[in-house]
Amino acid sequence: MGFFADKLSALTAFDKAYDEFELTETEPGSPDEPYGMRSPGRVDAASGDLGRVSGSIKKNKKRLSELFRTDINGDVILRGFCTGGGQSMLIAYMNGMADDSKINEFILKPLMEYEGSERGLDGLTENTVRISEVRLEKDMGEAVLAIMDGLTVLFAEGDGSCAVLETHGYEKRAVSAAENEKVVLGPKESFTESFRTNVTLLRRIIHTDDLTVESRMSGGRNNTRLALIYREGFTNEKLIKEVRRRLDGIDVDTPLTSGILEQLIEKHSLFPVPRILSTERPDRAASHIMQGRVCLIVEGSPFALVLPITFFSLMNSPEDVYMRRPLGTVLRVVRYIGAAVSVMIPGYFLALALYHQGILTTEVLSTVIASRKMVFEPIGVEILLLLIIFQMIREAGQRVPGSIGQAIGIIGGLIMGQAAVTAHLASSVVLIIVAASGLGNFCIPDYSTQIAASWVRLAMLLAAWLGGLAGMVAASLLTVCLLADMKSFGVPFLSPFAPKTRSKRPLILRGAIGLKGSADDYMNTESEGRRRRV
Amino acid sequence: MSLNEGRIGRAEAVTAAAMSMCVNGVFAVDNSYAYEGGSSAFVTVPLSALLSLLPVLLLIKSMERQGSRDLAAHFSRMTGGFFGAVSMLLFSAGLVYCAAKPLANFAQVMQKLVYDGAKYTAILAFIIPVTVFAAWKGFECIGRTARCFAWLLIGMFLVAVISSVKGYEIYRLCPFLSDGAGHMAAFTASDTLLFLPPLAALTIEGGALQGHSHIRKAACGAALASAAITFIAQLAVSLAYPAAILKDMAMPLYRIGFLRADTGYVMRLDKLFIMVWLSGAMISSSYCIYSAARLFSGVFGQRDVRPAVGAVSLVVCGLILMGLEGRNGNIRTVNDIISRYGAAVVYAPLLAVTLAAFIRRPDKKNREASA
Repeated sequence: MGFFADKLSALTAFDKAYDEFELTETEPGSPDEPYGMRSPGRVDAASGDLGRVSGSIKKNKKRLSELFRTDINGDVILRGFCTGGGQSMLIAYMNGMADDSKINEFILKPLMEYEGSERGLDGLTENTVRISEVRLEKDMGEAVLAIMDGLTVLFAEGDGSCAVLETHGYEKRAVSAAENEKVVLGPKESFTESFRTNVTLLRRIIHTDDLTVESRMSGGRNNTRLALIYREGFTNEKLIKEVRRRLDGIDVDTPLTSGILEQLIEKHSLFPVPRILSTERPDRAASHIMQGRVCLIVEGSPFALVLPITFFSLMNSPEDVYMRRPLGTVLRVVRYIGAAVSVMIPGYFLALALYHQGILTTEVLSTVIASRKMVFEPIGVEILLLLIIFQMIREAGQRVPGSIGQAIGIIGGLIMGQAAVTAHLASSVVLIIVAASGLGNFCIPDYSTQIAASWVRLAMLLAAWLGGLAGMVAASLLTVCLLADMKSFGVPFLSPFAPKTRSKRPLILRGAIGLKGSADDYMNTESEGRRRRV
Repeated sequence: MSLNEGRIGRAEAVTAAAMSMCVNGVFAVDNSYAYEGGSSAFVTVPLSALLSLLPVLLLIKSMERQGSRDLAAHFSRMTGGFFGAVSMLLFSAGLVYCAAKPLANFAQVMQKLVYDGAKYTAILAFIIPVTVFAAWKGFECIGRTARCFAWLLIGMFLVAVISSVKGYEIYRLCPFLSDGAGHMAAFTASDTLLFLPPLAALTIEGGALQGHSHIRKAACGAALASAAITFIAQLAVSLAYPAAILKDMAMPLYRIGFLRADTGYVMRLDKLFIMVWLSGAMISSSYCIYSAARLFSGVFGQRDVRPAVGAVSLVVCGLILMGLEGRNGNIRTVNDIISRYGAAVVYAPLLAVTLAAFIRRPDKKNREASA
């Protein structure tokens, strides 16, 4: 109730200046928490109040045992040992998260064989331990986070710090071909669940020295690792600050994935149209980073989030630039026509059939009437029913394994359709309309946008059912108004068309490759200066 | 486009103003007056659009001289609190008329020719809420929406005009001036009522439009575009029907589609045209409602424009219903009076404030702040 009350009060808060409502997305303060998700304050490892590392190994071991409840959690390894020179040491790591062989071969073995007089961690890690990535920490909270992250922590008697050693060694999926954003021409590889692999995939594509990978932990209890990737000195500073601000506001207990993060940093997460692009393709993410956008990668998610985005970037497919210009242009035009057909045609047909039969010629009208002769339900119910069945087939096809999914599509599309016409549950004309609408929906390259288009299609259908073409006009205008009012991290959603901004690239037609070099004006990148003309 | 700047582009401002002027010049013209003296509307209507530019340019110049950021500040500064409020109310009345007239015309035509016998309230139930919603969202939203629909509207308009070309006859332009040039001049002057408020409304958004030179350019662009489109529309209509018929015809551009007698599989597109043009009328009304509300808020120092949008919307809604469902004879008389003499009500406050600004010594501080 509280959430809806807040939304209502925001809508009718007349005491605020009008301008504040024009740019709600970049208001100061924390972004809204969807569904009231905000965990109560707690003392955790990330907050850094676990104190400092003790100089006594005994105390450190006791502390870690209590924190990790080693009496119950068998996978936390705390092992004490002595070096050949008699220095007492303690090693702590998470079994399964860290690589055992690496620990044995490059940490334990050299230290146990070391007979020198060096007793401090500084010297021991510098000369004896054979791990490339080492850092010293004095904060116990950082040590705990490192253990949970799959690193190994080394303590030495008499040293008030600990050494954090890179020993990641958990199982992970190999880089495979993209499943949701398939292309015929162009790279096949996709992001995986591994944070490091994903960053590497991007670094392999982007070779500019200004690429910055800002690694940080998410807020809340779970402390998921995420990376903020951008081009320093090129990407708009205000945009980076805004993303950082929204990330700082995250405080949830739910395990963070890219989908959840997307909702948490969006201002209006109830609106169906996405304001952040979720892509599984490193080449697509890299292309956006090069144009001055910010990319977010979350540990455990095979998707990168790209922001800010516009309507036109959601409608572009990575394949467009991998083929010749005329071919890419044709594909894009077909895609836009498909999207328009998907959204408009069921509603338009219903409006003509119910209210404006005069628009149709006698021949077309008699064909429609003949096909619906034996169908018992009203035409509106018939279209709605078929759209729901179509959506069900689509969902079923996606949730079951590959070959069975294809079979469901064939059964649903051909056999059920034919059977429905024969049984007079649906007319062949309406079936064709719904099928065309469904096909058009698949032309939209982004999955979230496809779902949003389905919502708009439903709204159009209901509006047409209620008011014919006037209802559709009202619904279309309302949809465009909402889209025109939308902003993705301060960038108007329909730019560079509305508002018109300078853009060297055509909106729908594919531009020349040579024009891809500079960023769009609405990105307001730093190196191009702040252009004042809107 | 910079982040968090809250400014409005010139392209959007031009589109919104031009769309409003075109809708008024094509669908809201009082045909009984326009074609009373012959088929001269294709000259007089575009001339009215261009004529409206003159007082607006003077107004902008006076604002520049006094360093007024927008029209509300200009009214308050030049005519004082009480007279500023009265001037604002008079000018807002023009905007309210421009918001109500096209929607009422569309509702009337749709009730008679598209939804045969439907209640006006049922038709308006689809039109009004969306119009108010766009106005509620603000000028940013209206301008961008106008830009999105502009090409569709122009496309549909050209298709309608070109596809009816077989029905055009040059002899229908006669008589051009049956009542003489005096009638033509009177109509041109009075018809500015439909063009001046939306054009002058650009000055209400002065701050967001990034300065006086941008407002001036936007006003010129909008006036020229609307003059061109109204010329094409009125010429097509005059070529399609004689003045004697046009005099009693509501929304003749819609009816030029009837000249085509296509049969077979080609669909009759006239109903589709009127629906697309309806979207233009809705955007136009949103623009006028928002501008009136913004002016009201500015003069009375209210920070949030939305309560005023609600109030103006109610007035517009009431006017439309009164126009549609009121006693036919009385409404026609009132409408005739407004269309003939209403322009004076809009001109008076604008000329007064312009004159005052040129007489008074410029405020250096304001000018510097404005610069």
